[in-house]
Amino acid sequence: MSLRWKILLLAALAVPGCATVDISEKQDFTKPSMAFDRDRPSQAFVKHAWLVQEQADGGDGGEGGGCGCR
Amino acid sequence: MRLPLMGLALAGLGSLALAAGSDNAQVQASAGYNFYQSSDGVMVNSPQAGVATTLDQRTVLTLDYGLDAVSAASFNYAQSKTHNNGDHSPGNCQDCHSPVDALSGASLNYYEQRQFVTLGAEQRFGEGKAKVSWYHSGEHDYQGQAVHASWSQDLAGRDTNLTADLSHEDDWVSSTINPSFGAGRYGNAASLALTQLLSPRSEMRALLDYATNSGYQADPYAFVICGTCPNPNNPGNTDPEENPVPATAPSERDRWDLGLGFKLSLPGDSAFEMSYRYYQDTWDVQAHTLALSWATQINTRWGDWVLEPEYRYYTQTQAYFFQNSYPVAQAYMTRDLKLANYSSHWLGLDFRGPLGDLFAAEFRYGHYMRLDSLDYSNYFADGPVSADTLQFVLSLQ
Repeated sequence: MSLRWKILLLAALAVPGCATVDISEKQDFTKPSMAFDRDRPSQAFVKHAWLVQEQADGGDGGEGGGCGCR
Repeated sequence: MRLPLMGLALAGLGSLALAAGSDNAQVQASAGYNFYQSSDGVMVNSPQAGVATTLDQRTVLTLDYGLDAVSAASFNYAQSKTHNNGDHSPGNCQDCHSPVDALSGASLNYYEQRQFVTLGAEQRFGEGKAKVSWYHSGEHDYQGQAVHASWSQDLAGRDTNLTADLSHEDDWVSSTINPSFGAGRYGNAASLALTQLLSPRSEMRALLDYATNSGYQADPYAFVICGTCPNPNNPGNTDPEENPVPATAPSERDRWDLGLGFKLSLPGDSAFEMSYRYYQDTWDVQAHTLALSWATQINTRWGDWVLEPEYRYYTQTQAYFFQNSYPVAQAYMTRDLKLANYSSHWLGLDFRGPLGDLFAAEFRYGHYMRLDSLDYSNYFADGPVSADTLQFVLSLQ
């Protein structure tokens, strides 16, 4: 089995393991520290700085497009 | 192209301002300044601004505008590693070498500006949300356009979110040193993302992304050193250092990524985040990215701020046609550092939070370090690049 299929299998196995969370138990998700890093206003520029140096792109569902720096 | 772009951005801003004048509209705005400097002499000053108008709680219009002012240090011909073979005396290289793109290779007092704008619209339908956006980027030698469309659906009492995204890119590559050159570059991408609450304190995100790229994939400024390749400018010259030939690349590149993220709320108003991304493309590049961060809340006089140290590790294998130099000609040839074997570390520190009831601010610093074992004797850089980023963003909520 190739690495890509092992990773996909691992991801598929992880999802059914989650439990239903009652709305009264969700207060932790309102904490400012719980925002995923991609939601920060500064993230687009940092991601662009990485793209200038690296071949790998994508993988975060973000918007944007091409530029001459690639 | 700059004036139309500016006009479009201003028209978009005007439309948003008119929309904001209606009843029930809410406006959010942000302005920021970003700075980038690398050890190979490239410096980027990048102001940005954005505005979002929420209409009737269901519709959001967004406009983001940014400018990259790119400059690079003067190239020191007297210290050149690639022009010290006696054929060139220091200082005469301008006779045959023109300024080239700062981020693609060497530069001679290079300066350029890139403007980019994104217009977007979101519409909520119950537990679902549709979003479309248009992106344009313009600079001297590159015009980029992209359209995105996505559908996001909350499920299972908002414990689960599924988002599907489609995008299309249509770019045009040109050259400041060869006005007759022009070529198209196209891309299509599709992604599927799942965000899932795992427990009252943890959530995960998984994303699968597939893209096809076609058209001109090389860099019009990039050259390789090739021992036996015919020199288009001087066919009789066989000195490899005096025989640069244009870099070439396949016209097709397909890629796919898998991203996994995990966020855990910790006691004491802090949280831990870990993410991993696997990347593979048809040029035989495989990459792994691991990112870790720990965010903690700090009570300040302005409210609860978040301090977040970050670490990111990246490693990739080289493209199948990459070589430092080529003894004989090949179908595809590149010495682009982005296509080599290497790894990198990134360390960051982010500090963000409210400034009273109306404003929020974010400060962020990052340091990037590349590690590789390449022979840099034929590159303008002395060794693997390092870079620093500094950012400040002020938002009106």
